[in-house]
Amino acid sequence: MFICEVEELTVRYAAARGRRAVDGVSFTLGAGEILGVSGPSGCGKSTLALALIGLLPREAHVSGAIRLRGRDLRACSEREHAAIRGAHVGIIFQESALALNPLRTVGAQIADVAFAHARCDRQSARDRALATMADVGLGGDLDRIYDSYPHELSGGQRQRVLIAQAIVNNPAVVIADEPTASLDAAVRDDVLDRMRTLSARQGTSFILITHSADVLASTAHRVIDMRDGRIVSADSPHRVAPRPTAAVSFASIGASAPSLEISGAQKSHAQRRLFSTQHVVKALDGVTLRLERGRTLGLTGPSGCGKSTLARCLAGLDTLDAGEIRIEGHVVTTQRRTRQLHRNRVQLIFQDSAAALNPRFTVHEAIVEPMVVQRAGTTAERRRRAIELLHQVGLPQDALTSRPGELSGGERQRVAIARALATHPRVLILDEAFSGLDVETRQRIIGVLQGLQATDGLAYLCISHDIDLLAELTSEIALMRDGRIVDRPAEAYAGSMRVSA
Amino acid sequence: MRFVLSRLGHSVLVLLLVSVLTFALIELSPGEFFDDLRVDAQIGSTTVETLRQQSGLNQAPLARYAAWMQSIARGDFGVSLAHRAPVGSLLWERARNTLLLTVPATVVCWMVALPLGLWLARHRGRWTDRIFTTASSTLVSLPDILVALLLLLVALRSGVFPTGGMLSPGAESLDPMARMRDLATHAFLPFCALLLVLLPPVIRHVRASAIEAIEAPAVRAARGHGIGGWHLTTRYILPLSANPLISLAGLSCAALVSASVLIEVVMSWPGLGPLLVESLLAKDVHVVLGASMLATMFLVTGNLLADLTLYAVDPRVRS
Repeated sequence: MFICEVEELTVRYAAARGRRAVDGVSFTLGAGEILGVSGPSGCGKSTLALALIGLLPREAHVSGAIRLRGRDLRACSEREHAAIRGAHVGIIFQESALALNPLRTVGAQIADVAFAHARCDRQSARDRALATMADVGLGGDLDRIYDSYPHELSGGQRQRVLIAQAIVNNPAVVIADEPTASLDAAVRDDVLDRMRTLSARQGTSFILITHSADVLASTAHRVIDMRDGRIVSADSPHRVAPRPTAAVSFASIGASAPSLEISGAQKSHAQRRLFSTQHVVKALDGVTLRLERGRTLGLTGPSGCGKSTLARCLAGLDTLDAGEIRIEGHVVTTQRRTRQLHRNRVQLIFQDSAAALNPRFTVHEAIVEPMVVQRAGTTAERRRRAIELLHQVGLPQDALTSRPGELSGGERQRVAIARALATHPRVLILDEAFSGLDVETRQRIIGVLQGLQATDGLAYLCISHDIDLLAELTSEIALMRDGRIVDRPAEAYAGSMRVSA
Repeated sequence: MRFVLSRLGHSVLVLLLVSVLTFALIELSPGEFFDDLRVDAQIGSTTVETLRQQSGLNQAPLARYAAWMQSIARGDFGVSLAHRAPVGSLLWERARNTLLLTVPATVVCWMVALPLGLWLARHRGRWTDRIFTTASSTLVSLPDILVALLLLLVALRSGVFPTGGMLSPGAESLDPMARMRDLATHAFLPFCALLLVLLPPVIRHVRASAIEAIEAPAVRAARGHGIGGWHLTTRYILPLSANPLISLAGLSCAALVSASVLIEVVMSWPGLGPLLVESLLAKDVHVVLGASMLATMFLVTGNLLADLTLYAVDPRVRS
């Protein structure tokens, strides 16, 4: 008996001239089975996930059948469907910055899911939420995290909140859309381990959508490979030949005029409520780093260690409480004139590209905007440069007229990179910039970045929890923990290093 | 706290600028209060000159502005030339009449618009939504004066409601209950006109921001977890759509004194509107200054309240 059967599922959008986002997909899912779905960005993986839980926008045409324990979900009314979602089918969404309500504490949002289905009071919903939070590894002061708002947590912590929401009611099937994309290696392994345990002990089935061959190899029982909305192959996971990892060393101290120099950087965040200030968190606690011209420095560490705060301060989006940042020898101050100069020299590429791009701008507008602000070139020159940049990041010229909403996560990230390159920066900060990309795209962009480095002497600060990825880019990797640079990698990291395709 | 203080300082600056601008505009436009007397052949030019001297109009504009500022500092809003009365008490009486009309209208407007707008957004595209959307765009595009005149016409033909004033003649002698009833029947038509003018844009704003919230990934995710109905509306859709609405509500505080000008004039309600129009035409400087100060004060207070509400509601604003 299959828990879930999908037959000839097809999704078409009228707006896309009838192009099929999902095209005749059929598969079955047994109890306790972990089915991997892989494929490049834009292949229809995310549309498939939305179709399975019946959340496609109204203009989508769906045909085919989705059966859950023999019951056809496509015949369900909206009310019946809502009762199934979250109770029998859980979903883990991809971009944690967007999938949570910014105005509600994360604990309440987990409890909401329990409350919506189990006929329990708020107190027991709260208890269940706290228990689930512990289950997904939201360690430390659970009550404090329960009462935190999404923006007060790190990307990794938010992602774990999403996982807690999905499994709080012990659903039969969990659809996970890139559930581990923003988790550090140790937690990623922990989460995958929990998924395996859930499937083995409680018979929970998973549809695991990811482009990470590692995750599929270690977790999925079976993998279907999608391309252009179709299943191109269905078999057991690809076993990837181990690749020798580059030797890991630490931020070396070079000689003259470094591109970026940070000394004694300190920064604290306070959780503010209407009438009081609670909990001061030290995000940066005396960080000292140095990045030479034309070099790449990797920065890694567990979620919540202060990586993103450092990135924001370096890009001039936030100010340090104490310490100094020098860009090519110049001290970065908060004075407006120098700050503008500084912003042109340093560009930041974020983790959530969908959140970073203005949804109302076309790709062309997004890329030329920095040039317009700088008054660089004529309209025609800007357009040429935009096309050139798109070409560099591997997007076709006709993408210029698209808007972020029409692009896949990987395509959006490439647009964000093209936009960052528009002002000819000296230092590029890549904050988990590769975590939403499939292997092919990632390789291509890494190639582009390395080319630029060779010709223009660009320096990169690459922030990621994925030490494999960093090792691919550079041999200089610094490890951060609790707001400090730790001088050697922790055992957990060395132990969890794995190979990627 | 520092935020509130800085905003208060900011507000004082705004008030000062508005007073300078208002004063300058009145000065720059041709004519002055006693011009009507000059054309009157029976009044000699020396009499007019004496009157001007008595009211200080012969002084330089800058000196008059300084004198006005000094009296403001003492809490005195100056004297109305036309009414021969202190501006303070005159404004207070008229403002009270206006607020009597606009506060209930604004409160009712939001009480109707919030649930209705949310409901329309959740049932977007159905025939009820289409009917309401069409009706509200018709009302939005209808000039305010037409709405008021139409209501007046109805009142005149039906004869149920009085068509002007605030109290019936001789109402002072009635007992308090009967006076209240008399006031209510007089207020009803202007109230309806005001509501019809205020309501459609607010409903449209609520509906639009609720639709935006419904399409937000956070709400889609909540629906993906099976959260729906009342809980989804009050804990997800409403908070996510609240920010622009809070700002709009702050702005509508400013409308408390200014939106009703036209309706008060058309329906002869003795509020600030008719007073402002008379005083502007007559160049009764201190009244115009006082009234515009009052309107600015409402705007500034409304915005301050809106900012404080945002601070309380949105944790992202706090950090």
